Amino acid sequence: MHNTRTLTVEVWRQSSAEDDGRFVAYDVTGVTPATTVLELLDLLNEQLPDGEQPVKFDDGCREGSCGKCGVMVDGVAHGPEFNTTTCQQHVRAFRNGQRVRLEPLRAEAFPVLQDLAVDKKKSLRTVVKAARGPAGMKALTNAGCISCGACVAVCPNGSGQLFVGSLLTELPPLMKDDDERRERTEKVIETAGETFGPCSTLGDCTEVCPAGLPLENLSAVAREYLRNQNKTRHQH
Amino acid sequence: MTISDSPGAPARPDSSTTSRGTVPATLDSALRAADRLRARAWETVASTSVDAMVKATEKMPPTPQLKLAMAASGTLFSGFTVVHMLGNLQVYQGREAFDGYARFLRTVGSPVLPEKTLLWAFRVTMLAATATHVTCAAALTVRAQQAASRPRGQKRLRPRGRRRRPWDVAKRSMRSTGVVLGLFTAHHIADLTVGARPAAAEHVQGAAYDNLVRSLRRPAVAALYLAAMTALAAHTAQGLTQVGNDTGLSTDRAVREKLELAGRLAGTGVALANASIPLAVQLRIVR
Ligand code: HEM
Ligand code: SF4
Ligand code: FES
Repeated sequence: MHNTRTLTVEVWRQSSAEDDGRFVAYDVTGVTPATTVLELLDLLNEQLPDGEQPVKFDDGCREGSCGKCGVMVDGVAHGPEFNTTTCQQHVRAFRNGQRVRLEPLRAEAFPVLQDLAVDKKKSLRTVVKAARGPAGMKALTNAGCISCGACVAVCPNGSGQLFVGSLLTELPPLMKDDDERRERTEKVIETAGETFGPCSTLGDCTEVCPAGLPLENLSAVAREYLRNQNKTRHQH
Repeated sequence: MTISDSPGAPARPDSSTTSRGTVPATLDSALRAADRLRARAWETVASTSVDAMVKATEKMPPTPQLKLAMAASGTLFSGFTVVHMLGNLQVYQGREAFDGYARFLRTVGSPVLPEKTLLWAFRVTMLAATATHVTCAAALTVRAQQAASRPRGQKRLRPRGRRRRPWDVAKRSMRSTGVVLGLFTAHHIADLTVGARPAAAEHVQGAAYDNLVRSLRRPAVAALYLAAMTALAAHTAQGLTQVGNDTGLSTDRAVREKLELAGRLAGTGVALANASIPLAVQLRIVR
Protein backbone atom coordinates (compact mmCIF):
# COMPACT_ATOMS: atom_id res chain seq x y z
CA MET A 1 0.00 0.00 0.00
CA HIS A 2 1.57 3.27 -0.97
CA ASN A 3 0.49 6.81 -0.33
CA THR A 4 -0.22 8.42 -3.65
CA ARG A 5 -0.18 12.14 -4.10
CA THR A 6 -1.12 14.82 -6.54
CA LEU A 7 1.49 17.29 -7.76
CA THR A 8 0.97 20.41 -9.78
CA VAL A 9 3.57 20.17 -12.48
CA GLU A 10 4.50 23.34 -14.34
CA VAL A 11 6.05 22.24 -17.60
CA TRP A 12 7.80 24.27 -20.25
CA ARG A 13 5.87 23.86 -23.48
CA GLN A 14 7.55 24.97 -26.67
CA SER A 15 6.36 23.58 -29.97
CA SER A 16 9.62 24.02 -31.87
CA ALA A 17 13.09 25.52 -31.67
CA GLU A 18 11.87 28.75 -33.26
CA ASP A 19 8.83 29.22 -31.04
CA ASP A 20 8.58 31.12 -27.78
CA GLY A 21 7.90 28.79 -24.90
CA ARG A 22 5.72 29.12 -21.82
CA PHE A 23 4.93 27.27 -18.64
CA VAL A 24 1.70 25.27 -18.49
CA ALA A 25 0.45 23.80 -15.20
CA TYR A 26 -1.04 20.31 -15.00
CA ASP A 27 -2.25 18.37 -11.97
CA VAL A 28 -0.71 14.90 -12.00
CA THR A 29 -2.28 12.23 -9.78
CA GLY A 30 -1.04 8.84 -8.67
CA VAL A 31 2.47 10.00 -7.82
CA THR A 32 4.29 7.84 -5.23
CA PRO A 33 7.52 8.56 -3.35
CA ALA A 34 9.29 6.10 -5.64
CA THR A 35 8.16 7.84 -8.82
CA THR A 36 11.14 9.24 -10.70
CA VAL A 37 11.11 12.56 -12.52
CA LEU A 38 10.88 10.80 -15.91
CA GLU A 39 8.05 8.62 -14.59
CA LEU A 40 6.31 11.76 -13.43
CA LEU A 41 6.47 12.97 -17.03
CA ASP A 42 5.11 9.59 -18.20
CA LEU A 43 2.19 9.98 -15.79
CA LEU A 44 1.62 13.51 -17.00
CA ASN A 45 1.53 12.41 -20.62
CA GLU A 46 -0.99 9.65 -19.74
CA GLN A 47 -3.20 12.18 -17.99
CA LEU A 48 -3.01 14.99 -20.56
CA PRO A 49 -6.33 16.57 -21.55
CA ASP A 50 -7.65 15.33 -24.91
CA GLY A 51 -6.06 16.89 -27.94
CA GLU A 52 -2.87 18.06 -26.23
CA GLN A 53 0.45 16.90 -27.63
CA PRO A 54 2.51 14.75 -25.24
CA VAL A 55 5.33 16.58 -23.49
CA LYS A 56 8.56 15.79 -25.26
CA PHE A 57 11.63 15.10 -23.11
CA ASP A 58 15.05 13.49 -23.42
CA ASP A 59 14.95 9.82 -22.43
CA GLY A 60 17.36 6.91 -22.48
CA CYS A 61 18.56 4.01 -20.34
CA ARG A 62 16.79 5.15 -17.17
CA GLU A 63 19.64 3.58 -15.26
CA GLY A 64 21.80 6.63 -14.83
CA SER A 65 24.44 5.54 -17.28
CA CYS A 66 23.73 6.90 -20.78
CA GLY A 67 23.57 10.63 -20.00
CA LYS A 68 20.69 11.27 -22.38
CA CYS A 69 18.10 12.44 -19.85
CA GLY A 70 18.07 15.80 -18.15
CA VAL A 71 15.62 18.52 -17.14
CA MET A 72 15.75 21.31 -14.59
CA VAL A 73 13.61 20.55 -11.54
CA ASP A 74 12.79 23.74 -9.64
CA GLY A 75 15.90 25.42 -10.98
CA VAL A 76 18.35 22.56 -10.42
CA ALA A 77 19.74 20.53 -13.31
CA HIS A 78 18.69 16.86 -12.96
CA GLY A 79 16.81 17.64 -9.73
CA PRO A 80 17.18 18.32 -6.01
CA GLU A 81 19.00 15.09 -5.10
CA PHE A 82 22.76 15.55 -5.29
CA ASN A 83 24.79 13.78 -8.01
CA THR A 84 21.84 11.91 -9.49
CA THR A 85 20.59 11.79 -13.08
CA THR A 86 17.04 12.93 -13.83
CA CYS A 87 15.98 9.34 -14.52
CA GLN A 88 17.17 8.30 -11.05
CA GLN A 89 15.72 11.28 -9.17
CA HIS A 90 12.74 10.37 -7.02
CA VAL A 91 10.05 12.86 -6.22
CA ARG A 92 9.84 11.86 -2.58
CA ALA A 93 10.92 15.35 -1.53
CA PHE A 94 7.66 16.73 -2.92
CA ARG A 95 4.58 16.62 -0.72
CA ASN A 96 0.99 16.20 -1.79
CA GLY A 97 -0.31 19.32 -3.52
CA GLN A 98 3.11 20.87 -4.07
CA ARG A 99 4.17 22.57 -7.27
CA VAL A 100 7.11 21.32 -9.28
CA ARG A 101 8.58 23.31 -12.11
CA LEU A 102 10.18 21.37 -14.95
CA GLU A 103 12.17 23.22 -17.58
CA PRO A 104 14.65 22.20 -20.21
CA LEU A 105 18.36 22.24 -19.31
CA ARG A 106 19.09 25.94 -19.73
CA ALA A 107 22.21 27.25 -21.41
CA GLU A 108 23.04 29.20 -24.55
CA ALA A 109 24.90 26.07 -25.73
CA PHE A 110 21.80 23.86 -25.36
CA PRO A 111 19.05 25.12 -27.68
CA VAL A 112 15.55 23.81 -26.92
CA LEU A 113 14.24 21.48 -29.64
CA GLN A 114 10.76 20.91 -28.25
CA ASP A 115 9.25 21.19 -24.76
CA LEU A 116 11.90 19.74 -22.41
CA ALA A 117 14.08 18.23 -25.12
CA VAL A 118 17.31 20.10 -25.89
CA ASP A 119 20.22 19.66 -28.25
CA LYS A 120 23.10 19.24 -25.82
CA LYS A 121 25.03 16.80 -27.98
CA LYS A 122 26.17 19.32 -30.54
CA SER A 123 28.05 21.66 -28.22
CA LEU A 124 29.48 18.90 -26.00
CA ARG A 125 30.59 17.03 -29.07
CA THR A 126 32.40 19.99 -30.65
CA VAL A 127 34.66 20.02 -27.61
CA VAL A 128 35.29 16.27 -27.79
CA LYS A 129 35.95 16.56 -31.50
CA ALA A 130 38.53 19.23 -30.80
CA ALA A 131 40.41 16.52 -28.91
CA ARG A 132 40.08 14.46 -32.10
CA GLY A 133 37.20 12.09 -31.44
CA PRO A 134 38.33 8.74 -30.04
CA ALA A 135 40.92 10.10 -27.60
CA GLY A 136 38.41 12.65 -26.35
CA MET A 137 35.72 9.99 -25.88
CA LYS A 138 38.19 7.72 -24.10
CA ALA A 139 39.26 10.56 -21.80
CA LEU A 140 35.64 11.23 -20.83
CA THR A 141 35.01 7.53 -20.23
CA ASN A 142 38.10 7.32 -18.06
CA ALA A 143 36.93 10.34 -16.09
CA GLY A 144 33.50 8.75 -15.63
CA CYS A 145 31.69 11.61 -17.40
CA ILE A 146 28.46 10.54 -19.13
CA SER A 147 28.13 13.80 -21.11
CA CYS A 148 24.79 14.67 -19.55
CA GLY A 149 25.40 18.43 -19.68
CA ALA A 150 24.00 19.08 -16.20
CA CYS A 151 27.15 20.92 -15.14
CA VAL A 152 26.65 23.49 -17.90
CA ALA A 153 22.93 23.93 -17.30
CA VAL A 154 23.23 24.40 -13.54
CA CYS A 155 26.10 26.89 -13.79
CA PRO A 156 25.09 30.55 -13.32
CA ASN A 157 27.86 31.36 -15.84
CA GLY A 158 26.87 28.69 -18.38
CA SER A 159 30.37 27.29 -17.96
CA GLY A 160 31.28 23.81 -19.14
CA GLN A 161 34.44 23.70 -17.11
CA LEU A 162 33.65 20.50 -15.20
CA PHE A 163 33.09 18.70 -18.50
CA VAL A 164 36.07 20.34 -20.25
CA GLY A 165 38.35 20.09 -17.22
CA SER A 166 37.50 16.41 -16.72
CA LEU A 167 38.35 15.77 -20.34
CA LEU A 168 41.63 17.67 -19.95
CA THR A 169 42.43 15.79 -16.74
CA GLU A 170 42.26 12.44 -18.51
CA LEU A 171 43.51 13.41 -21.97
CA PRO A 172 47.28 13.82 -21.36
CA PRO A 173 48.01 10.15 -20.49
CA LEU A 174 46.35 9.15 -23.77
CA MET A 175 48.62 11.31 -25.91
CA LYS A 176 51.56 9.75 -27.68
CA ASP A 177 53.87 12.70 -27.11
CA ASP A 178 54.06 16.24 -25.81
CA ASP A 179 53.38 17.84 -29.18
CA GLU A 180 50.15 15.93 -29.54
CA ARG A 181 49.14 16.90 -26.01
CA ARG A 182 49.77 20.58 -26.66
CA GLU A 183 48.05 20.62 -30.01
CA ARG A 184 44.89 18.91 -28.78
CA THR A 185 44.53 20.59 -25.40
CA GLU A 186 44.92 23.95 -27.10
CA LYS A 187 42.11 23.13 -29.54
CA VAL A 188 39.88 21.90 -26.71
CA ILE A 189 40.39 25.07 -24.68
CA GLU A 190 39.81 27.29 -27.68
CA THR A 191 36.62 25.46 -28.65
CA ALA A 192 35.37 25.44 -25.07
CA GLY A 193 35.88 29.21 -24.89
CA GLU A 194 33.68 29.68 -27.96
CA THR A 195 31.00 27.34 -26.64
CA PHE A 196 30.71 27.85 -22.87
CA GLY A 197 31.02 30.61 -20.28
CA PRO A 198 33.89 31.34 -17.87
CA CYS A 199 34.28 29.40 -14.60
CA SER A 200 33.98 31.16 -11.22
CA THR A 201 34.57 28.04 -9.07
CA LEU A 202 31.04 28.18 -7.69
CA GLY A 203 30.84 24.39 -7.48
CA ASP A 204 27.17 24.00 -8.44
CA CYS A 205 28.43 21.59 -11.11
CA THR A 206 29.96 19.21 -8.59
CA GLU A 207 26.65 19.12 -6.73
CA VAL A 208 24.75 17.84 -9.76
CA CYS A 209 27.38 15.78 -11.63
CA PRO A 210 26.12 12.16 -11.62
CA ALA A 211 29.72 10.97 -11.89
CA GLY A 212 30.65 12.94 -8.76
CA LEU A 213 33.59 14.58 -10.54
CA PRO A 214 35.63 16.83 -8.24
CA LEU A 215 36.43 20.57 -8.24
CA GLU A 216 40.09 19.77 -8.93
CA ASN A 217 39.16 18.91 -12.51
CA LEU A 218 38.14 22.53 -13.15
CA SER A 219 41.71 23.67 -12.76
CA ALA A 220 43.06 21.35 -15.46
CA VAL A 221 41.93 23.93 -18.01
CA ALA A 222 44.28 26.60 -16.64
CA ARG A 223 47.08 24.06 -16.09
CA GLU A 224 47.04 22.93 -19.72
CA TYR A 225 46.61 26.50 -20.96
CA LEU A 226 49.67 27.74 -19.06
CA ARG A 227 51.66 24.68 -20.02
CA ASN A 228 50.96 25.40 -23.68
CA GLN A 229 51.94 29.06 -23.29
CA ASN A 230 55.29 28.22 -21.69
CA LYS A 231 56.21 25.65 -24.26
CA THR A 232 55.29 27.93 -27.13
CA ARG A 233 57.49 30.66 -25.72
CA HIS A 234 60.51 28.39 -25.28
CA GLN A 235 60.41 27.36 -28.91
CA HIS A 236 60.81 30.86 -30.28
CA MET B 1 5.87 31.05 -7.28
CA THR B 2 3.99 32.72 -10.07
CA ILE B 3 2.85 30.94 -13.13
CA SER B 4 2.29 32.78 -16.35
CA ASP B 5 0.50 31.33 -19.28
CA SER B 6 1.86 33.89 -21.67
CA PRO B 7 5.25 33.87 -23.34
CA GLY B 8 7.92 36.42 -22.60
CA ALA B 9 7.84 39.04 -19.89
CA PRO B 10 5.65 38.67 -16.83
CA ALA B 11 2.16 39.87 -17.61
CA ARG B 12 1.77 43.61 -17.14
CA PRO B 13 -1.26 44.62 -15.15
CA ASP B 14 -4.23 45.09 -17.43
CA SER B 15 -4.63 48.85 -17.49
CA SER B 16 -8.45 48.70 -17.56
CA THR B 17 -8.51 46.97 -14.18
CA THR B 18 -6.08 49.34 -12.47
CA SER B 19 -6.61 52.90 -11.31
CA ARG B 20 -6.92 53.86 -14.93
CA GLY B 21 -10.12 51.83 -15.11
CA THR B 22 -12.33 54.91 -15.16
CA VAL B 23 -10.57 56.84 -17.95
CA PRO B 24 -12.28 57.12 -21.34
CA ALA B 25 -11.72 54.24 -23.73
CA THR B 26 -9.68 56.23 -26.27
CA LEU B 27 -7.28 57.51 -23.65
CA ASP B 28 -7.08 54.02 -22.20
CA SER B 29 -6.09 52.47 -25.50
CA ALA B 30 -3.62 55.30 -26.11
CA LEU B 31 -2.04 54.56 -22.73
CA ARG B 32 -1.89 50.89 -23.55
CA ALA B 33 -0.23 51.63 -26.88
CA ALA B 34 2.26 53.88 -25.11
CA ASP B 35 2.92 51.09 -22.62
CA ARG B 36 3.58 48.64 -25.41
CA LEU B 37 5.87 51.11 -27.19
CA ARG B 38 7.83 51.74 -24.04
CA ALA B 39 8.21 48.00 -23.44
CA ARG B 40 9.34 47.50 -27.03
CA ALA B 41 11.83 50.38 -26.72
CA TRP B 42 13.30 48.93 -23.55
CA GLU B 43 13.65 45.53 -25.15
CA THR B 44 15.46 47.07 -28.11
CA VAL B 45 17.78 49.09 -25.91
CA ALA B 46 18.51 46.07 -23.74
CA SER B 47 19.18 43.71 -26.63
CA THR B 48 21.30 46.13 -28.69
CA SER B 49 23.53 47.10 -25.81
CA VAL B 50 23.98 43.44 -24.87
CA ASP B 51 24.85 42.67 -28.49
CA ALA B 52 27.33 45.53 -28.54
CA MET B 53 28.90 44.34 -25.29
CA VAL B 54 29.16 40.77 -26.52
CA LYS B 55 30.80 42.07 -29.72
CA ALA B 56 33.25 44.14 -27.70
CA THR B 57 34.28 41.19 -25.54
CA GLU B 58 34.83 39.04 -28.63
CA LYS B 59 37.79 41.23 -29.49
CA MET B 60 39.27 40.76 -26.03
CA PRO B 61 41.78 38.02 -25.16
CA PRO B 62 40.52 34.47 -24.56
CA THR B 63 38.97 33.69 -21.18
CA PRO B 64 41.99 31.88 -19.65
CA GLN B 65 44.09 35.00 -20.28
CA LEU B 66 41.50 37.31 -18.76
CA LYS B 67 41.39 35.00 -15.75
CA LEU B 68 45.18 35.13 -15.40
CA ALA B 69 45.05 38.93 -15.50
CA MET B 70 42.35 38.84 -12.80
CA ALA B 71 44.49 36.48 -10.75
CA ALA B 72 47.62 38.65 -11.06
CA SER B 73 45.87 41.91 -10.19
CA GLY B 74 43.77 40.26 -7.49
CA THR B 75 46.82 38.68 -5.85
CA LEU B 76 48.56 42.06 -5.91
CA PHE B 77 45.53 43.64 -4.22
CA SER B 78 45.34 40.87 -1.64
CA GLY B 79 49.04 41.21 -0.80
CA PHE B 80 48.56 44.95 -0.54
CA THR B 81 45.63 44.61 1.88
CA VAL B 82 47.82 42.53 4.22
CA VAL B 83 50.71 45.04 4.16
CA HIS B 84 48.32 47.97 4.45
CA MET B 85 46.63 46.36 7.44
CA LEU B 86 49.99 45.93 9.19
CA GLY B 87 50.63 49.62 8.63
CA ASN B 88 47.16 50.56 9.86
CA LEU B 89 47.63 48.68 13.13
CA GLN B 90 50.36 51.17 14.07
CA VAL B 91 47.51 53.49 14.99
CA TYR B 92 47.51 51.59 18.29
CA GLN B 93 51.09 52.77 18.92
CA GLY B 94 49.93 56.36 19.07
CA ARG B 95 50.03 59.56 17.08
CA GLU B 96 53.78 59.84 16.68
CA ALA B 97 54.40 56.31 15.43
CA PHE B 98 51.50 56.52 12.99
CA ASP B 99 52.47 59.93 11.58
CA GLY B 100 56.05 58.71 11.26
CA TYR B 101 54.85 55.71 9.28
CA ALA B 102 52.82 57.98 6.99
CA ARG B 103 55.88 60.19 6.46
CA PHE B 104 57.99 57.10 5.72
CA LEU B 105 55.58 56.08 2.96
CA ARG B 106 55.89 59.49 1.32
CA THR B 107 59.66 59.67 1.56
CA VAL B 108 60.75 56.04 1.15
CA GLY B 109 63.52 55.77 -1.45
CA SER B 110 64.87 59.27 -0.91
CA PRO B 111 67.48 60.64 -0.97
CA VAL B 112 68.52 58.11 -3.64
CA LEU B 113 65.36 58.91 -5.55
CA PRO B 114 63.40 62.15 -5.41
CA GLU B 115 60.81 62.16 -2.62
CA LYS B 116 57.52 60.47 -3.53
CA THR B 117 59.04 58.63 -6.53
CA LEU B 118 58.32 55.21 -5.10
CA LEU B 119 54.97 56.40 -3.85
CA TRP B 120 53.97 57.41 -7.36
CA ALA B 121 55.38 54.25 -8.89
CA PHE B 122 53.23 52.32 -6.47
CA ARG B 123 50.17 54.42 -7.27
CA VAL B 124 50.57 53.95 -11.01
CA THR B 125 50.94 50.19 -10.54
CA MET B 126 47.80 50.01 -8.42
CA LEU B 127 45.88 52.12 -10.91
CA ALA B 128 46.91 49.88 -13.78
CA ALA B 129 46.01 46.79 -11.77
CA THR B 130 42.61 48.27 -10.95
CA ALA B 131 41.92 49.09 -14.60
CA THR B 132 42.91 45.54 -15.55
CA HIS B 133 40.88 43.90 -12.78
CA VAL B 134 37.73 45.88 -13.54
CA THR B 135 37.93 45.56 -17.33
CA CYS B 136 38.51 41.82 -17.20
CA ALA B 137 35.75 41.41 -14.61
CA ALA B 138 33.34 43.26 -16.90
CA ALA B 139 34.29 41.19 -19.95
CA LEU B 140 34.00 37.91 -18.05
CA THR B 141 30.62 38.98 -16.68
CA VAL B 142 29.32 39.67 -20.17
CA ARG B 143 30.63 36.30 -21.38
CA ALA B 144 29.05 34.52 -18.43
CA GLN B 145 25.67 36.15 -18.91
CA GLN B 146 25.73 35.43 -22.60
CA ALA B 147 26.53 31.75 -22.03
CA ALA B 148 23.87 31.39 -19.33
CA SER B 149 21.21 33.34 -21.20
CA ARG B 150 17.60 32.34 -20.69
CA PRO B 151 14.44 33.06 -22.64
CA ARG B 152 13.41 36.67 -22.18
CA GLY B 153 11.49 37.25 -18.97
CA GLN B 154 12.40 33.87 -17.51
CA LYS B 155 14.35 34.40 -14.33
CA ARG B 156 16.53 31.75 -12.71
CA LEU B 157 14.66 29.99 -9.93
CA ARG B 158 16.03 29.74 -6.44
CA PRO B 159 17.33 26.19 -6.59
CA ARG B 160 15.34 23.70 -4.56
CA GLY B 161 17.17 21.61 -1.99
CA ARG B 162 20.27 23.80 -1.86
CA ARG B 163 21.10 25.44 1.45
CA ARG B 164 23.63 28.24 1.13
CA ARG B 165 25.95 29.01 4.04
CA PRO B 166 27.65 32.43 4.35
CA TRP B 167 30.78 31.31 2.48
CA ASP B 168 28.61 30.02 -0.35
CA VAL B 169 26.90 33.39 -0.55
CA ALA B 170 30.34 35.06 -0.60
CA LYS B 171 31.29 32.88 -3.58
CA ARG B 172 28.36 34.15 -5.58
CA SER B 173 28.91 37.78 -4.66
CA MET B 174 32.24 38.60 -6.31
CA ARG B 175 30.70 41.25 -8.52
CA SER B 176 28.78 43.02 -5.77
CA THR B 177 31.56 42.77 -3.18
CA GLY B 178 33.99 43.99 -5.85
CA VAL B 179 31.83 47.03 -6.57
CA VAL B 180 31.56 47.76 -2.84
CA LEU B 181 35.36 47.56 -2.55
CA GLY B 182 35.82 49.85 -5.55
CA LEU B 183 33.43 52.48 -4.19
CA PHE B 184 34.92 52.18 -0.72
CA THR B 185 38.45 52.64 -2.08
CA ALA B 186 37.37 55.77 -3.94
CA HIS B 187 35.88 57.17 -0.74
CA HIS B 188 38.91 56.10 1.29
CA ILE B 189 41.34 57.92 -1.02
CA ALA B 190 39.20 61.06 -1.20
CA ASP B 191 38.90 61.00 2.59
CA LEU B 192 42.37 60.21 3.93
CA THR B 193 44.76 60.75 1.02
CA VAL B 194 43.31 63.75 -0.77
CA GLY B 195 41.28 65.18 2.09
CA ALA B 196 38.43 66.26 -0.15
CA ARG B 197 35.12 67.14 1.40
CA PRO B 198 32.52 65.76 1.92
CA ALA B 199 34.42 62.45 2.00
CA ALA B 200 36.94 63.90 4.43
CA ALA B 201 36.31 65.46 7.81
CA GLU B 202 38.53 68.40 8.78
CA HIS B 203 41.78 67.46 7.05
CA VAL B 204 45.32 68.66 7.77
CA GLN B 205 48.07 67.56 5.36
CA GLY B 206 50.59 65.37 7.17
CA ALA B 207 48.49 64.90 10.31
CA ALA B 208 47.57 61.33 9.39
CA TYR B 209 46.58 60.22 12.88
CA ASP B 210 44.28 63.14 13.61
CA ASN B 211 42.72 62.96 10.13
CA LEU B 212 41.99 59.28 10.66
CA VAL B 213 40.45 59.74 14.09
CA ARG B 214 38.34 62.72 12.99
CA SER B 215 37.08 60.76 10.01
CA LEU B 216 36.21 57.59 11.90
CA ARG B 217 34.45 59.53 14.66
CA ARG B 218 31.61 59.98 12.16
CA PRO B 219 29.26 57.02 12.75
CA ALA B 220 28.27 56.76 9.09
CA VAL B 221 31.91 56.50 8.05
CA ALA B 222 32.64 53.91 10.73
CA ALA B 223 29.66 51.90 9.47
CA LEU B 224 30.92 52.18 5.90
CA TYR B 225 34.29 50.76 6.98
CA LEU B 226 32.61 47.80 8.66
CA ALA B 227 30.53 47.09 5.56
CA ALA B 228 33.57 47.37 3.33
CA MET B 229 35.52 44.96 5.54
CA THR B 230 32.73 42.40 5.29
CA ALA B 231 32.96 42.71 1.51
CA LEU B 232 36.75 42.38 1.70
CA ALA B 233 36.56 39.17 3.73
CA ALA B 234 34.10 37.68 1.24
CA HIS B 235 36.02 38.81 -1.85
CA THR B 236 39.40 37.63 -0.58
CA ALA B 237 38.10 34.24 0.53
CA GLN B 238 36.66 33.37 -2.85
CA GLY B 239 39.42 35.33 -4.62
CA LEU B 240 42.24 33.06 -3.45
CA THR B 241 40.16 29.97 -4.28
CA GLN B 242 39.69 31.44 -7.72
CA VAL B 243 43.40 32.19 -8.13
CA GLY B 244 44.13 28.50 -7.50
CA ASN B 245 41.61 27.49 -10.13
CA ASP B 246 42.79 30.04 -12.69
CA THR B 247 46.49 29.26 -12.41
CA GLY B 248 46.17 25.47 -12.50
CA LEU B 249 47.45 25.09 -8.94
CA SER B 250 44.15 23.63 -7.79
CA THR B 251 44.41 20.45 -9.87
CA ASP B 252 45.89 19.13 -6.63
CA ARG B 253 43.15 18.67 -4.03
CA ALA B 254 45.41 19.46 -1.08
CA VAL B 255 46.50 22.73 -2.70
CA ARG B 256 42.93 23.66 -3.52
CA GLU B 257 41.79 23.07 0.03
CA LYS B 258 44.75 24.97 1.49
CA LEU B 259 44.11 27.95 -0.77
CA GLU B 260 40.46 27.98 0.21
CA LEU B 261 41.42 27.95 3.89
CA ALA B 262 44.14 30.56 3.34
CA GLY B 263 41.64 32.82 1.58
CA ARG B 264 39.17 32.58 4.43
CA LEU B 265 41.85 33.16 7.06
CA ALA B 266 43.47 36.05 5.21
CA GLY B 267 40.12 37.61 4.34
CA THR B 268 38.66 37.45 7.84
CA GLY B 269 42.01 38.25 9.48
CA VAL B 270 42.61 41.42 7.50
CA ALA B 271 38.96 42.44 7.75
CA LEU B 272 38.79 41.97 11.53
CA ALA B 273 42.08 43.75 12.18
CA ASN B 274 41.03 46.71 10.05
CA ALA B 275 37.51 46.75 11.44
CA SER B 276 38.90 47.03 14.97
CA ILE B 277 40.10 50.56 14.15
CA PRO B 278 36.75 52.27 13.46
CA LEU B 279 35.35 50.36 16.45
CA ALA B 280 38.20 51.54 18.68
CA VAL B 281 37.65 55.13 17.53
CA GLN B 282 33.90 54.90 18.13
CA LEU B 283 34.53 53.46 21.61
CA ARG B 284 37.08 56.23 22.25
CA ILE B 285 39.86 53.70 22.82
CA VAL B 286 41.72 55.48 20.05
CA ARG B 287 41.23 59.21 20.34
C1 HEM C 1 37.72 47.65 -7.90
C2 HEM C 1 36.86 46.87 -7.32
C3 HEM C 1 36.82 45.37 -7.60
C4 HEM C 1 35.97 44.73 -8.46
C5 HEM C 1 34.88 45.37 -9.32
C6 HEM C 1 36.27 43.32 -8.39
C7 HEM C 1 35.60 42.33 -9.08
C8 HEM C 1 36.02 41.03 -9.17
C9 HEM C 1 35.36 40.01 -9.94
C10 HEM C 1 34.06 40.18 -10.73
C11 HEM C 1 36.11 38.89 -9.85
C12 HEM C 1 35.90 37.64 -10.66
C13 HEM C 1 35.42 36.47 -9.96
C14 HEM C 1 35.30 35.38 -10.99
O1 HEM C 1 36.29 34.92 -11.55
O2 HEM C 1 34.17 35.01 -11.24
C15 HEM C 1 37.22 39.18 -9.00
C16 HEM C 1 38.22 38.30 -8.67
C17 HEM C 1 39.21 38.55 -7.74
N1 HEM C 1 39.36 39.69 -6.99
FE1 HEM C 1 38.36 41.40 -7.27
N2 HEM C 1 37.31 43.12 -7.52
C18 HEM C 1 37.66 44.35 -7.01
C19 HEM C 1 38.63 44.60 -6.04
C20 HEM C 1 39.43 43.62 -5.47
C21 HEM C 1 40.28 43.84 -4.31
C22 HEM C 1 40.41 45.12 -3.50
C23 HEM C 1 40.92 42.64 -4.08
C24 HEM C 1 41.91 42.31 -3.00
C25 HEM C 1 41.55 42.10 -1.80
C26 HEM C 1 40.47 41.70 -5.10
C27 HEM C 1 40.90 40.41 -5.20
C28 HEM C 1 40.44 39.50 -6.13
C29 HEM C 1 40.99 38.19 -6.36
C30 HEM C 1 42.18 37.57 -5.64
C31 HEM C 1 40.22 37.60 -7.38
C32 HEM C 1 40.41 36.23 -8.03
C33 HEM C 1 41.17 36.41 -9.32
C34 HEM C 1 41.05 35.25 -10.25
O3 HEM C 1 41.86 34.32 -10.16
O4 HEM C 1 40.16 35.26 -11.09
N3 HEM C 1 39.56 42.33 -5.91
N4 HEM C 1 37.15 40.50 -8.59
S1 SF4 D 1 31.04 16.45 -15.92
FE1 SF4 D 1 29.36 15.43 -14.76
S2 SF4 D 1 27.64 16.87 -14.97
FE2 SF4 D 1 29.13 17.46 -16.55
S3 SF4 D 1 28.51 16.36 -18.41
FE3 SF4 D 1 29.99 15.03 -17.35
S4 SF4 D 1 28.75 13.69 -16.05
FE4 SF4 D 1 27.40 15.37 -16.67
S1 FES E 1 18.22 8.06 -19.16
FE1 FES E 1 20.27 7.31 -19.28
S2 FES E 1 21.19 8.45 -17.68
FE2 FES E 1 19.12 9.03 -17.46
